[in-house]
Amino acid sequence: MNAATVAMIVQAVATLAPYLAQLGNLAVKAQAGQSITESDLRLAEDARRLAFAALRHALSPEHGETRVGETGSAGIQGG
Amino acid sequence: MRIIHIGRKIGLSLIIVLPILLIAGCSASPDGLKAGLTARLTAANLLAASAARGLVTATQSRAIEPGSETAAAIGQTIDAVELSLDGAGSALRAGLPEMASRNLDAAEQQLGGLQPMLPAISGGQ
Repeated sequence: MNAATVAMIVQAVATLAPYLAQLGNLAVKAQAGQSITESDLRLAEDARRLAFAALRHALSPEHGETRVGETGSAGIQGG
Repeated sequence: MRIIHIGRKIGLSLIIVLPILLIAGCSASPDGLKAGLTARLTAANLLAASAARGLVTATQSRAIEPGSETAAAIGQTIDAVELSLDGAGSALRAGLPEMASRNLDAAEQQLGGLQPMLPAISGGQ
């Protein structure tokens, strides 16, 4: 495994970590019998919209020209 | 390719979380039904966001070529997922749980459709 591959894997894990953490929080809430709130839902929807916008930008042919060290922010708040 | 492998493993573990949310959240009462749908919709949004971020990483590694047919198919699929998730959220807030549930079913099916795209990415790009 070369250094570039390692860097990409680390970046991928770092990118996904906030979503995994939030999903983990939801699972804990659900198992404890707590309600998932409207605030939780809105946070998740906002995160999804940001992520989809980033993906559309990344998929566009114009974007293929300029992708140097681009990293997307998670757009998700803790809580 | 390892990113795709890791992404698929993460996707599988996330799929395991969903039933926990469903089972814990659903009950026969209207409030219980809404609570279950809220939990399911929240999880679906987070799954969709994580899948999208994973695919962004794939474009950065050139596993997905921007402007390719695969990129177009993924773009159209996320458009469909977004419409379904937005529809589910609106229906839920409007007090229409059946409509919300059907939109959510559609979004989950469409998200699942992204998974078979990954082997095509590894072999054909």
